[in-house]
Amino acid sequence: MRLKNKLALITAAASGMGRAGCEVFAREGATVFAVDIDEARLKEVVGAVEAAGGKAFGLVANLLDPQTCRGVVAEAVAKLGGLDIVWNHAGVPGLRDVENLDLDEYAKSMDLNVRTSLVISGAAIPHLRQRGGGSVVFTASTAGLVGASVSPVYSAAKFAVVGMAKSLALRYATEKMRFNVVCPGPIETPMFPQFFDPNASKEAAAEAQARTIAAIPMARMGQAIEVANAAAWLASDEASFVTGVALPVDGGFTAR
Amino acid sequence: MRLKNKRVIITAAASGMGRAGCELFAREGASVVAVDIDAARVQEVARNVTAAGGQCTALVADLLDPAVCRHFIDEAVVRLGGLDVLWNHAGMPGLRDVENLDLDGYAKAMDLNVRSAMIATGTAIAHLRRAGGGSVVFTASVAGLVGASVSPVYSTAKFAVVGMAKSFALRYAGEKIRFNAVCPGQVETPMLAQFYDPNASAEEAAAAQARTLAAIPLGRVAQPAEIAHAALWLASDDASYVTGVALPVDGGYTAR
Repeated sequence: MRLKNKLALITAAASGMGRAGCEVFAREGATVFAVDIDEARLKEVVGAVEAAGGKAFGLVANLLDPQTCRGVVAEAVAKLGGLDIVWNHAGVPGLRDVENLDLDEYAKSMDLNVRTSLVISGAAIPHLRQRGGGSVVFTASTAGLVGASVSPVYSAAKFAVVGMAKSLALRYATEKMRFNVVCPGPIETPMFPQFFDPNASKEAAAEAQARTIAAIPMARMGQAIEVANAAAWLASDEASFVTGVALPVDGGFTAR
Repeated sequence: MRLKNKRVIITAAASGMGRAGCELFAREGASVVAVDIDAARVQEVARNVTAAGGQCTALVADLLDPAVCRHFIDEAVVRLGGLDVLWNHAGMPGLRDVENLDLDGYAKAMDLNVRSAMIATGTAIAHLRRAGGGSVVFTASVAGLVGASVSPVYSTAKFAVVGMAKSFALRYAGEKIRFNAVCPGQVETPMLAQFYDPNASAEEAAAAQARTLAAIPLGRVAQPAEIAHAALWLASDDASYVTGVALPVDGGYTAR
């Protein structure tokens, strides 16, 4: 068990990669504090983890509110009795349009993708310090490593996440806190279709998806568990000399 | 057991990270052929792994010889009954001097660091294909990601290894063969001392070592097992959507 007795906070835990993370972290021995805005699905995840013999708590929260982000960390620490691991997984696709930028939507994308992770990580650091160190994982994207024509806003936000992780890694390295990023390519999750134009015809949507897959050397989308496995490795002591790294899980997309 | 029934070849297996890899991979269920030029030490590694309940045999080979690079793969495959994983770990420090380049020393560094991995991998592909896919791990270095003042030759060779891994990843992705590189920073191994100037005084050597440590955010060198864990993860099915990646295990060195 690679996360035995570890206390872990995971955001956006109710579906896709976050849900897979709850399951694999718990299976590896961690107690998981799962946070999501979707109450019904979160309950289902906590139930599934418990049914498999794992330990998990759920908390419904809207991470667009910075006060809530701080409160989530405090609540996690109270419930878990400390904190060793944070997986900042919450995020949202960005806008497609930049020529008539919708400032509200822009702010929402930057707030959820960037500010949320910074506020939560900042609030978590004193608690990690208290435990003598810890590991923080961020979810960025291949769009945090290379440009994303479909959404410059998303790419800007995810580059920001990579920069945040690397800088936190430098600042807290001597306190044995590690900060790393997983950079998923296209993953089969409920969020994935949202990256495509909602106004596109069925044919155009199918074509866009085919183009996406054609750009992936492995010629398939990733599964949520494949990203959760990367996060679990970065979170674990097996990655004890790994910090400030942005790890692509992308079927070879950024190998080009 | 993350490498259960996997058939594995590891080069430069007699000491340091390669040795740690033999021990770890075998513990995770793999059957290992440990390759090294040092017969006594590689046989000792195989004996120790076997004594611990693992499966490991020693194979003595000089990888500077291209014919040997082809032959040792085939020989190992005969022993293993096939091949699932190859860890191209063999390498050597490069020359310090470039102003009066020693062409023999240069050729040796390029041949061992680059050519041996290229030939071994090329030979292995047919066997991996027969197994329905597989995973190849290369050992590059942080010097394969950023420049290395101490040895431009070493950096040149290790950038080549990263380029090789990414290009193989693109070419064979459709055949389910994955190629990734681990990029260690400073690791406490028998080879580490060879990176420093052999003609330096004790004070100069201590100062050089202190400068090296000061550049590592985690403030320490790595242990061989920390690199072997990264190789294990890349070799395993946990990393099934990871290909063409150069993964730093460097205590934050390249986060700058």
